[in-house]
Amino acid sequence: MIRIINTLQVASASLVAAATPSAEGVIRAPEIDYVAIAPEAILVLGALAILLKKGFVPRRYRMMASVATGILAICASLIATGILWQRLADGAAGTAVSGILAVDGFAVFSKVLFLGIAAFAILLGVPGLRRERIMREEYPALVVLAAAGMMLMAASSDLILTFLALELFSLAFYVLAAFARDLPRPQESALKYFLLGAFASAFFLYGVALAYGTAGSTNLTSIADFLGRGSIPWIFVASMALILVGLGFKVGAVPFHMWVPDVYQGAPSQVVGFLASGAKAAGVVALLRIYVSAFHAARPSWLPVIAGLSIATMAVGVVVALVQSDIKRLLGYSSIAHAGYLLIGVAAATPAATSASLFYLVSYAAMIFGAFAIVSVVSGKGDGFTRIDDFAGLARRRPMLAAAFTVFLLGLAGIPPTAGFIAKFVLFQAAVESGLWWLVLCGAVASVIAAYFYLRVIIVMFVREPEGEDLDSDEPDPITSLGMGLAIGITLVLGIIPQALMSVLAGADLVMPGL
Amino acid sequence: MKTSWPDILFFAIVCGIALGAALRVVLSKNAVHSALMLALTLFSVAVIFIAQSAPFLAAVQMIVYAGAVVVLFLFVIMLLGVDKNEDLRETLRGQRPAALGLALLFAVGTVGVIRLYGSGAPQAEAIALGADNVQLIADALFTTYLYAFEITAAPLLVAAIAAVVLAKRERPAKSLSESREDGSA
Repeated sequence: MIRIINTLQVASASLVAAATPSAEGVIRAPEIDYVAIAPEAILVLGALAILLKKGFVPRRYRMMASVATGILAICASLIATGILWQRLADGAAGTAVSGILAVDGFAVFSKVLFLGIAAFAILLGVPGLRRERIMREEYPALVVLAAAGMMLMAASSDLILTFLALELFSLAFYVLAAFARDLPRPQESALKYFLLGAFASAFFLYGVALAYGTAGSTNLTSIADFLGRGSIPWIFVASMALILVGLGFKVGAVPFHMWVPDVYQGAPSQVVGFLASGAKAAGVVALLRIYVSAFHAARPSWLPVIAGLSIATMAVGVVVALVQSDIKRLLGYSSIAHAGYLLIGVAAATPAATSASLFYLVSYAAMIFGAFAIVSVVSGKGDGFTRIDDFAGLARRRPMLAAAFTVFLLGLAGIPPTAGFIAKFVLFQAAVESGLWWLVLCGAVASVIAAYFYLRVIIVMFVREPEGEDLDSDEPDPITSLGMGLAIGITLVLGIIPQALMSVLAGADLVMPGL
Repeated sequence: MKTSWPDILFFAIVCGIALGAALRVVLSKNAVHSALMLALTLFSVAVIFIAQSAPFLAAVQMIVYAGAVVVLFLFVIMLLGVDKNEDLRETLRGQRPAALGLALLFAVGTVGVIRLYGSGAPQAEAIALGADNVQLIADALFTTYLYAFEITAAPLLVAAIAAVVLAKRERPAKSLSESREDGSA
């Protein structure tokens, strides 16, 4: 016991004095790159500020102070990311804090993407949740902590840190899914999400343990070195499969997709946009970081599995979406199909496919946020009207909403001139270049089938007469309108002048130890 | 390095206790018995850690698992109330075969790793060479995994927020003052 205390004292002393000489029995603290950890650290500090301010701010201003602190934290983190980007432009990419945190264009670009997703979550979530009277002061804190977790998913260069990041944003998502806690359906879906998510995390962790057992390290660079040395033990193949189960659950790939439609239907519409774009983007960037970069030498082993998952995911997503009568479930199955397209980018495993996947994630985030913002407005109080029939005659009642929804649905279907078309085009192009034309063929067929159910909703909105009594859905409030406007802007601008983002993505390359 | 027979005997006894207690955890019909048997299992594992000259892990195992986690289980059982006529029918169909399948998966993985690398990871080699176990853990925790160690705080923070958001009722200010008046009257 005394020995333990002594060692702890030594350890803490050496942490305080960073440059202790390396004597026997003294631990040298690693050099901490504060610029590299700033984006996430600022978000966690912001969450703490949101929680602590309860003691200082009068009750009347607390909600406003929470939201303001959340927005401030996101802006400050964005500036910190910008500084990191600037430093990256000057020097070479590398790792920070004893090799656990990757600092490369891929990580920094993903951080900007996740900060944007978090900003949308606050912009579109807060007014909607207030309207539903389920807004809590803790909502901005959960959003920024989830954003920190997702950013770490992209930047993590060690499977242990990836696991912690996964848990960080997943725990926040379970709570957000249960935000309407007094209704039975949200409760049921949130519990399902939590139990299945915990199960998937266990698979991921077991995969990490087996990777450590074979490669002798959880560090992605060391694992890439280990794989580059030659034969891959079968136990490592098992480890890759288990890690794929954990991440496949997050992106909603078949056969780990069962939670998606239930959670999208059960969770309040105001937060589903965040759950949909955030979980998918975080899962995909982790897949790219781990499989495309670190496990690149083992690509012959994982390529058939990921390609198979991709085909199954696209097939189940589009076929089951055809028969849905609920708009939230329809968007849920459509998001499963999108996970399938994104897996094509992972399977292609080239720098071009990586930047195409990032482009896809940006445009998907804008479109799904916009689509769910409209669903939250049209469905009214307590998500009462979410049948596709409830959208009948929307063009007559709310022409602007119907027009906006049309843009988002066309984008999700991948029809020009929206970002969805360009995203699919560059992704498929990159996959063809790496010889996966058969996978692209499946993706193209799935896209054609998918266009049918998106167009069906558009036809219902514009052609059918309103059913029964006039639902008189709420006019969207100014902030929600602003958020929708931004989402439409991104969808159309990226569709018409994609070069704007493409040129940025050219600098967002993933450092690939395996290439 | 050849293992001496007292070591084997000691290992067999402790493992026997751990396995027997683990079986009782699953098979016992009384939830309190299960929790206590779980404590015994975890305690036996701690003893194995000591035999493997890993005193820090043993201490953590006893303090965190046998101490905190099992006591938490007992609290939950106590708060829910132990009902003798509890319905023991299983609501999850196919649970047992699924559990067996997962156990098999775990066994295959563990045995596979051990067969591939008998002595295990670099840390284990260092311990075998007589390095200080506590020092090694502190080294890993405060240098290689320092950032991950610090980030652990964030999921815990989310868990605390989750408890508040999901459990606490937001009372309007008026009803609070009313209840205070009721108390004084």
